[in-house]
Amino acid sequence: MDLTNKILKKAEKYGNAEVLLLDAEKTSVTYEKNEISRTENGTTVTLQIRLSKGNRFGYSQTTNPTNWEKCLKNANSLLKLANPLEKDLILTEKIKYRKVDGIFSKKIKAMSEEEIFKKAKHMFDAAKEVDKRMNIPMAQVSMGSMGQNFANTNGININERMNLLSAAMEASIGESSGSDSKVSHNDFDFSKVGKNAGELCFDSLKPKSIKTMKADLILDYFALSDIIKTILIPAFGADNVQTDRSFLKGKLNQKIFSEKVSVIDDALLENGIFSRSFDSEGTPGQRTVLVENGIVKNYIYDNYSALKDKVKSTGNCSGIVKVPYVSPTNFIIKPGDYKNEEIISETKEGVLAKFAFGTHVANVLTGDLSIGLSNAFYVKNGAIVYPIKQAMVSFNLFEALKKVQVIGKTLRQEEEVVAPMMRFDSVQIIGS
Amino acid sequence: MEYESLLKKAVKLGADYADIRIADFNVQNTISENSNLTSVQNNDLYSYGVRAFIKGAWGTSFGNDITNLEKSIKTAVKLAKLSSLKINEKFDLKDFPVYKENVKFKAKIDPRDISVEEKIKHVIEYDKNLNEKPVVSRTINLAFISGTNEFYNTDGSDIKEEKFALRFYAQIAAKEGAKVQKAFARFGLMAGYERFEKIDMNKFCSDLKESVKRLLRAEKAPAGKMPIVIDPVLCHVFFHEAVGHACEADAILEKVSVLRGKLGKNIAPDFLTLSDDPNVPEENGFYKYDSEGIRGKEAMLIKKGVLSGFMNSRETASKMNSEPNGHGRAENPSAMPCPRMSNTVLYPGKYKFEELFENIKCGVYAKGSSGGVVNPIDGNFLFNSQEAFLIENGKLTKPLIDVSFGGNILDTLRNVEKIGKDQVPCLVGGYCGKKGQLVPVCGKCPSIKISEAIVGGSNK
Repeated sequence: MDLTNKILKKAEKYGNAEVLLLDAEKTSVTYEKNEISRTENGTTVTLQIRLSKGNRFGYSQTTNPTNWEKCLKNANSLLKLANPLEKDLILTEKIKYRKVDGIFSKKIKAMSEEEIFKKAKHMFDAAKEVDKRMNIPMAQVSMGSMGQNFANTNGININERMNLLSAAMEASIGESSGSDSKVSHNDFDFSKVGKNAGELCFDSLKPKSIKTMKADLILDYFALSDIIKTILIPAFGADNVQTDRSFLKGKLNQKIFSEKVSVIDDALLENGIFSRSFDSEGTPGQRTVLVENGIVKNYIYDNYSALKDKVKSTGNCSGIVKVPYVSPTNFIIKPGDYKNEEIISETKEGVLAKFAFGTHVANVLTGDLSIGLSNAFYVKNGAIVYPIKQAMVSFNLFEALKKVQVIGKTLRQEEEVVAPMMRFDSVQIIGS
Repeated sequence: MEYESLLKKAVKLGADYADIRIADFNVQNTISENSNLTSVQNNDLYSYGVRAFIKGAWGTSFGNDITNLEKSIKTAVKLAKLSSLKINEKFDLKDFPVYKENVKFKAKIDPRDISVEEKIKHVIEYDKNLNEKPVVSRTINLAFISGTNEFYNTDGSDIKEEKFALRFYAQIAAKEGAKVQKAFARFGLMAGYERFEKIDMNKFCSDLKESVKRLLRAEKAPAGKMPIVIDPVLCHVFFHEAVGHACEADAILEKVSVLRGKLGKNIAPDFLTLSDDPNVPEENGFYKYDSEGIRGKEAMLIKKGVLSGFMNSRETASKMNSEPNGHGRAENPSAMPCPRMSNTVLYPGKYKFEELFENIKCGVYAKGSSGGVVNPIDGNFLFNSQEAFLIENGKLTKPLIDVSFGGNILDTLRNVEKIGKDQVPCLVGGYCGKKGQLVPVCGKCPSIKISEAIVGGSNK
């Protein structure tokens, strides 16, 4: 009998139960200071148990599944302490799961350590080729495989495996730096990551100060996805909406954003980095329209927050360790009509930012942010003129998304956010 | 001891050096949301990691099931060999002191000995306390952590270190008319349960309520360069970001620190002395031994304005041939230790708190931290306050909404104009992220005045 079934059998005497068994294996090669610094390999396992009786719940987690009996007992002892809910959270119906395509690659699975070394070297050499002064403080290639097994006392027992290949590189010359990264379920060209990081570093040499001004702000993928991840995504979490911590509370079916803005959370996206056919509560993955042409259509839910709003979970539970525990899958910003070059060529005066920093300090509730830009470039009369020394921007993200008109047509995904390039017009830019 | 024989095996297989780390911790967490005790959880976190070093490169292997330890040792040595074959600049680790100690944490009560019911009672009490207009929503999180780190290496070190920690986090949202605001308060300290009972939670809750009320009527901060005064908590974040990261020895070796080549040079006013010290009792960055089994010592970073040292690990101390100061830290045994901060300590100055505001025509006073970040390569940093106030003609006039401050390390250090007498441990339970790893950090700092910083506000 497999471990989850063994646990469930024993759990039956306490009440209803669900078990989530997560495992991950990783092999990685890391360069530091222009040399290979280390090669790592290892596995991590996490067992999460949620017990339920009389609509009360006990949560227990362990990274040592051989101790599952202790973990189960702990869940049982905590069960009586929590306040009861109106209903059980453990799924009862029979569910048909849809398999997600493109999340497991046999080619990645078969990769040897030598192949990983080779990829890292390609990436490293490509950055060095850009300029002979190029210093590589950090480069990393890793290959990982992750599995989840969910089972409950109502007869659900499902498994899923995915694997990922990832590359990250930082390059520097003096005080100038550049970086790039890529994550994929499929093999890719590692030299491109190195070349991008190297070129960005090279292009950022000899930066100049800019004055404090109101001008257009063009956000490239990493800068925009960073802002979206820290400020926009939490606003769609039903947990935040229900506790008055979301700007979107009470705004369902209202036009809040520009008609150019559409947002989808899609767990079933083919090749999506955050794709999965079920979430941590066994709810099937789905495609949830969150914003359609500026109109707010939905929030993202787990079973607990869905029960509160008397709706169905959208399959966005991230772990059975607490309630609520809501997070997105592939959070997709619908592409616009502009080529990236056109966005720049149609800008009279502005700043193009490759990266943003300090987004984690923004005000999630109001959307106010004042953050730093790095690898930013001054744009004048439709062309990039020079790299910028130091700049901050201060604006309200929700206001900016209300007015936004210029959205790129090319999507990129290196984390949960799938996004194009975007331009916010007339933003407060603070120079030095 | 079985670890000793396994480590001998690593040497036999070809390792110059190897170590085994084991962490066994328990986290009890209680979460209450609007008077509803939503989750009571128990987390048992157990993991091990093995590192092997051969001629300038490391191989590591980790897992949760200690019965695989022998296999992991073989893997780590194999990977170290593979890596070592591919490098040009080989180096050896220097000789480090060997320690054998079983460190008991100085506390009366292990949090695990207190019933969950007792802990829950507190959470419900704070939740009730915060339930008052204009507060519309509350989330309270109280966690108790206890456990042991173990360390063994091929030199013969054999260390066990016990740790207890408390973490409290309260987040509230408030509404007045159409205006909404959120505020949070937290504390985190390394201490036994008896210390928790001494915290004045009534004051804690009423300060939080006052803070959100002020934020509701706060205005936007001005934008541009101006003088700022920051409280001890924000001061520790400022020095953590502006100086600390650039003083981590790996940043120097990787040529990604603006402070590279500045050792022994004057980089700050002569009244400024800054260190990083894991020995500050109760602070979140407290430890006796780092993750590499080296005794944690105070590392002098800036002495009377002169850059005087860096925080190091086994690898960086070997490469730079410097005295080890025990700053090689890792989030857990599966992660690679690297030079990290513990507690950022700014030595107190001569000014009374009021004197920091003298002669400021227009500036910002900011307190509490919502985080910070730095790019040590170009030296640009940013940090954000929980609350801020406008300073006009030396007086605090209006509350401002939370605001970010930016600057460049070398410029801003020169601009530290006054240091207050009011040095205090921050006890906010901070965490610092670097190379994908989080480690607990904090600081002991006074309030300071910086004559010019970039305020990320908005001009009308």
